[in-house]
Amino acid sequence: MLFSSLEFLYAFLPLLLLVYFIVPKRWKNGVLLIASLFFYFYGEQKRVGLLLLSVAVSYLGAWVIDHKRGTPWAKVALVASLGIQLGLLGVFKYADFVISTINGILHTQIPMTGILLPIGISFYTFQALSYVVDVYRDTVPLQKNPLHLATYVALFPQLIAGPIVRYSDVERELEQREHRISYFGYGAERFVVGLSKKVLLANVLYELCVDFRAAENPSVLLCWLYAVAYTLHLYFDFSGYSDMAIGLGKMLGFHFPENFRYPFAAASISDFWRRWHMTLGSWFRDYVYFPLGGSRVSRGKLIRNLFVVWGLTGLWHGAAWTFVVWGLFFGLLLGGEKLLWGKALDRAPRWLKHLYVVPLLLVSFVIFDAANLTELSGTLAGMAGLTGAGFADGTSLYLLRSYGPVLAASLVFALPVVPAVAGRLEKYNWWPVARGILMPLTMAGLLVACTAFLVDGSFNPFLYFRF
Amino acid sequence: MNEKMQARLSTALFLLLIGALAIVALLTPDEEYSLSERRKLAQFPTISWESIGDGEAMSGFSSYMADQFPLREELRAVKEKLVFGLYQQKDNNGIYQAQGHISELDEKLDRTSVENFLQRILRVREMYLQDNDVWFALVPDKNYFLAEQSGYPALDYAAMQQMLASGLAGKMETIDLFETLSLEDYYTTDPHWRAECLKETADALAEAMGAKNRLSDTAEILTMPQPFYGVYASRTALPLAADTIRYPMNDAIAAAQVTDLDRNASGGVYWGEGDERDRYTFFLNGSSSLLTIENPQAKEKKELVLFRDSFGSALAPWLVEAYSKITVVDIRYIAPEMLERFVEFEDADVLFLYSSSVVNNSVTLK
Repeated sequence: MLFSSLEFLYAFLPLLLLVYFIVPKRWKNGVLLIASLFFYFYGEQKRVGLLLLSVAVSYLGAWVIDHKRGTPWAKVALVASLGIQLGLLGVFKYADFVISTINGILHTQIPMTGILLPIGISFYTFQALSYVVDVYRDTVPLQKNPLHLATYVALFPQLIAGPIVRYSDVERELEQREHRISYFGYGAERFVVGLSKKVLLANVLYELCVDFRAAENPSVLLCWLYAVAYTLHLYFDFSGYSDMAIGLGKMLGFHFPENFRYPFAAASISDFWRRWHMTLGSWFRDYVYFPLGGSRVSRGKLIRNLFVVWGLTGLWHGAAWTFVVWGLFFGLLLGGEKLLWGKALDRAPRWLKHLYVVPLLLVSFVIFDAANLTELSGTLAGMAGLTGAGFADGTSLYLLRSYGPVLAASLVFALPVVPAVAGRLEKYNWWPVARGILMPLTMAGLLVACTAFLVDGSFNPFLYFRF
Repeated sequence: MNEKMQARLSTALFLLLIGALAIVALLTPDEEYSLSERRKLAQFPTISWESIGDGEAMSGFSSYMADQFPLREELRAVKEKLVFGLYQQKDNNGIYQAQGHISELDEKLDRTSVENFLQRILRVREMYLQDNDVWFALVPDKNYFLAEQSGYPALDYAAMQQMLASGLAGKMETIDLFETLSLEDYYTTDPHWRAECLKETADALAEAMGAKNRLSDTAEILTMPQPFYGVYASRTALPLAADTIRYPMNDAIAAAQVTDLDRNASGGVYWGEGDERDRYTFFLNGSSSLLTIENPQAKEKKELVLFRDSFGSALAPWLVEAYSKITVVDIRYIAPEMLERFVEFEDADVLFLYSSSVVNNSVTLK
């Protein structure tokens, strides 16, 4: 079920909130677990068992680790738990990718498995892994109640598209959380902001990307329009989902970590990754990069560590070579900033830093969106004006006119303009009162607008489901 | 204090909106048909273990929620107003308004479709029309007169004509209708041409087919009293002025007998008031795979077989006078292999009259 669907907004959510706030405290996790499993089952009928298996493996692994701490059995349980979960991820996400790669290299005819990627497997697997590793590291206590652990792994707000909530983030709240009207009100506002990002911006920008793909020989202008639109689309799609998850969590008494912090305001690629999909970045940092030695190693090992982490980051996003290229592209840039031009960049004026970051990001997301390396090279050639299509044609000029205002508005909302304006208004005495009225009314207006778009349109896929 | 007030107001408005709409959705009786969209609306899905297991119940419920949502038309209007007013977009779901007309963007020439179209009609010619005089005429859709002139991307009509001309060379004679038409010859809320404006077009066809001498210059233009909201009117939620259906009438048209072999019905060239859902069905009973128009007042026995799409329905009345019988065939609804059972081709003139939109989307042809 999508958050941006009528059945979620006007059937599942009202019913869940009604039941959740009526039942006594001790039943609330049970209500959440049942609702979360139904939520998952609604969109993924065949793979609920896989989700429950992940919970069971995490629970048993952590239990053995905790009870055999200090003995080799703890390590065996850790390796077994990680092996099983990563093995399942490997089979369900990467089997056909590996087979097609082998077939391509060795010219063999190994048949494909045809296994469809279970929704959200990358997210809930990483959450479950973090729990087991943290228990092994003794940084979080064992969760003795399997229902609480299942509620954590399956919790519907972040189950299928993040943010990646670690057990330590919600450990206390799983058993003891407060429900306040201030949380609920903020959560509702945050949810509607996320819904608006998705429905009112990301979906509209995606239509421009569809037009680009339909063009036989896109002009240079159309290629760049697509690169900008797709980059903004991806940002609003994914950060919108994170906002909705954080908002829903807040309504239910959870405090999920932030996942985006105006990434396009970044002054370097390193800065970008401190602002984009922050929970994934910190996951890889804590569970892969640091265990490999992090940055405090020899130059050679640092390069190895960067390529391992960014190769894996790319692969996490999808089972295709384009994602590996995408990850390594960032690994290369981050390595360059750490070892070569980082200090010079620090001294550069701010406008030059943005001039450096923005084109690289546009290219990176063109890589991200490409179905294969051939399509990627075609689009990059189109952007460079090497396809002979000309700078502009009737279609690209029309699309520029038709999408110009929404692109401009998207740029404004993608940069920290709204918080800056709100910050300036803080000095006026009337602003807190005005904000107290304006924000809820704006939220209501946006919810009506989102509903209108959802009723009218059939196009509504969430992009991050494929990860 | 202000933060508390904000939180309370946000909570109240959020719960009120999702709660109220959920309750209204639950209590409102389901509708079966959407008049504005001309389609059946999704109903509550059948719930069974099987439909739950394979996900059909869920997808059915999604469709049901979208189709039966309260205030659906009003919300669609809100969306359209936002798209045109706030977003300043030039089209909404591909529908645009310009020069008082509504139309749909269709700017990409589908060469594969044009090739397929040629194959389809040449197959018919090969099967039945080796000894007949055969003509082809392309009807430009109204984007030809509207899109580029209003700043919208347009189909490469010249390339389409070129492909058709070279594909049909030596097999059919092509009649150019483009010069006989203008934007005013099309309805404002519908893609079709106006029947009352087609005299010049019909003359051009008759002239090319050697039938002009059998046409008189007298036809009275009558008006249907009911308003006509065309197919584009249902695709936009904004309020629109209705079109008016006007149609030619003369003695031959009035006396002509139409037999709809598809529906096993008979009547005149014009059918009552047309279907309430689509008044354009007033012309020759709407979409029909096969029908005949017999003209008892014909001065000589000469037959025409008209292969056509819906544009042919409004044009055919103009040609009634020139033929003793017109057989009207729509190969979107009948396979050509079936035609030998129903159609007599011997000595008949044969005209393929197709709109550019069908040529560009020819997958519908059998």
